[in-house]
Amino acid sequence: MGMRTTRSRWTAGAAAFALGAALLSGCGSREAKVPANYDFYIFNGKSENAQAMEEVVDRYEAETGLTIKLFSLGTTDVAETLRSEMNSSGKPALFSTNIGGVMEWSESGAILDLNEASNPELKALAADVPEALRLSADGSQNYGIPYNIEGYGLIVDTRMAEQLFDLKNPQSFLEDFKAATYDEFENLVNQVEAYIATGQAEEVELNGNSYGFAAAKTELTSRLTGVFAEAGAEKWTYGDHMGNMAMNAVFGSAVDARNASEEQVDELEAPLEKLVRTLDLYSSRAAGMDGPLKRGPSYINSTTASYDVSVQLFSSGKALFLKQGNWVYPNIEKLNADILPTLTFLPIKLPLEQGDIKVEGLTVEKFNRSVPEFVPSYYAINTKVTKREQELAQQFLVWLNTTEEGRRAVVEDFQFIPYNADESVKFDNALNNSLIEYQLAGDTLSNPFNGSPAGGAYWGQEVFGSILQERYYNREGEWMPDDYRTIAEQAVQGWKDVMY
Amino acid sequence: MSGYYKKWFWPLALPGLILFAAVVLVPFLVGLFYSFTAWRGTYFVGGSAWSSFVGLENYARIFRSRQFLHALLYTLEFTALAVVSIGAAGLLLALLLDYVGKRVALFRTVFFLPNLLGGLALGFIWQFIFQNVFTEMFGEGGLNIAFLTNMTQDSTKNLFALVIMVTWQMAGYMMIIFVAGLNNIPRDLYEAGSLDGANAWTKFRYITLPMLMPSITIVLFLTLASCLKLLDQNVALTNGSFNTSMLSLQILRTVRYTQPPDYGQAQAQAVVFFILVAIIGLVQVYITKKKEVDA
Repeated sequence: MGMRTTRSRWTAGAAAFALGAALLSGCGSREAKVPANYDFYIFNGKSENAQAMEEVVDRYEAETGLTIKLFSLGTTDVAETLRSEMNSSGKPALFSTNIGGVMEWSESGAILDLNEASNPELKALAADVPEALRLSADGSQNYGIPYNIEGYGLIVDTRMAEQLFDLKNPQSFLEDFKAATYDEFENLVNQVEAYIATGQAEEVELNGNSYGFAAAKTELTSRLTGVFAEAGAEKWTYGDHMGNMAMNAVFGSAVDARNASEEQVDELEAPLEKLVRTLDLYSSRAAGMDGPLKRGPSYINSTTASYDVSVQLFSSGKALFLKQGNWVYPNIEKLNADILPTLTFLPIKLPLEQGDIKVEGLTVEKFNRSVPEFVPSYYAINTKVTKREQELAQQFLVWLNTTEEGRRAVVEDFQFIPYNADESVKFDNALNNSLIEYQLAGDTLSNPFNGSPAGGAYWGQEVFGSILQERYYNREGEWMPDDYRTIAEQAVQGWKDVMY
Repeated sequence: MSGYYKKWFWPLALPGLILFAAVVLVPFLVGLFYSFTAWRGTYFVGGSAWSSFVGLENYARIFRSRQFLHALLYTLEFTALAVVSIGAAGLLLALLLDYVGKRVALFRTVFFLPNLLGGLALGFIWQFIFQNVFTEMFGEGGLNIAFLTNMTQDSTKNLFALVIMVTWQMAGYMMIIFVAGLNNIPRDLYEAGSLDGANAWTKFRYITLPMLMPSITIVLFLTLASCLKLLDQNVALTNGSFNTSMLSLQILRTVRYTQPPDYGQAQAQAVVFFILVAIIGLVQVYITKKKEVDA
């Protein structure tokens, strides 16, 4: 009996202790604590510049005499790690986030609206961020300073184009390609496919100018096994990035998509249908290791159709186009550095009609000569640390983005395209230079996919990407116009199912 | 002796109890509490725990979620198949070892080896096997068994792919438990059986099986719990594609697929998951315990 009471008393005590701990950890509004070992803490959620960031921070420490804690991480789990850091007693003063994370941090009140920054220089810097690139919840706030610009399109080795069409100088061909209509593009793809198969094809027209194929294949062009290097095993390559193309017809930015109305989501159906027609073209003209890669089980097999395989196919000259972004550059460098200087971006085209486009001022012609360029991450200030840490973090941002030393570090050390690049910014990286050209010409689209449900992780991959991968790419045989419509309808429905 | 235990019970038990409270009990109760709130991982909606109290709403939403219900069903289907398959394979291996004689130690080691591989590594190896080796071997031109080709590209086929993989991984471990159980059966029981004219099957049915019940209790419990909670292999093999998410993966994904991350809901799923595993585990132990006999 005595034993029994002791035990139940113990259990009750443990439960009370546990509940107390729960409440404490949950709703204890602890005052921000002054950190003991450092002046402020930077949480860098991008692995690409982890090493370079360390050197830059070292230099900044030497210059200012401050001690900075730096933590870099750039995997898909970065959100969880950041959350646990934000819950800890040693919170970062400067952290990275994007349109997905901003919903969370603005609701919790942890993110500083830079319109109200205490540092006047940072306030001015933030006010200068172009409207389309701003980080906000509903358009009125300005939560972050962009890390950099990334973009994607059809990557092509211009030497391949030169030898396919026997060009003296590829420049006018590239210009005509950019200006070409979707129908001209589709015809080009079909003729290249015929040329790969038979060594003969009809002249193609681009922007009204004719281009004939070389009479005989060269060593380079005889390597081709297909027009596109595709990665059917990886849903983000089409669910997110191609899905984003259709979304650009309806939404001008990620913030617009994030705050989409039901009508707008319905309006997505028409461009999605056109997009699926384009995906049909890409996936039926795909390159493989020893010949064309056909749709079917091997089209989505991770050993034959992964991202790495697609980069390898392109790097070894088996495909004319690789639909990817400038982040692919280091991968190509490892596989075939010879082609790096002649790489460039060409726009992804969709068979849109003007009626499909709901974004003000956007025409079909402009859409089809533009590439999506966007800010993948932003620097943000945490309001839950002491005023002094916030102040120091703001100063660091000002230093990084306005001083000569800081701006040089962004371009040369990080190898990042600055969001405010001008003509003077030049890289060894031809893909970066190509993006800057589009940026300066104003021929850019945005990243509304980051504003789709769960920022692509859900809608792009689990809805749109899954429909394509699990019901269409994995099947042999042709797609019918009915299929285009069905895919578009289901993708729209999948979005509306999770609207709240 | 009993005085010794009385005197030293608390000093000896306390470190373990504190540890248990800190890493299991407290997080569990905190989690239970979060499942009734709009908890977002770093904050409560509305500012405080009380203002974000949502009652049973998180639970109501779980049972309206097609994804959760599908994952639940898929997990139960997998567990039913895997428990039978692992138990049978483990027992078969143990019985074989009982007859082998000479190289017992070698075979035991070989059969046990897959258990040393981590779930993720195992998953990626088997992904390659299912995608390429199986597809080649059982494809047209090979043995032509369509069901065994591209097993990771179909929800039903993948269920069996997972069972094959997990059986390969865990049967060796269960075999060890059965071997120990078999060694504990007195040989004279078999002799007596032989004298009474029992054949191999009768001896197995009326001597081996009842005497093995304690081992069966343990094996069932271990396989049930680990199959219900399976995660790594599920992630590595398909990562949920083709409707193949099991419950653990589903819970993880709930926070990835919501913005801001709905930890309250994920926590409610975890609580339901816990209750499910606890009930199934306890019922199983109760039933199999009753069937245990003493020699």
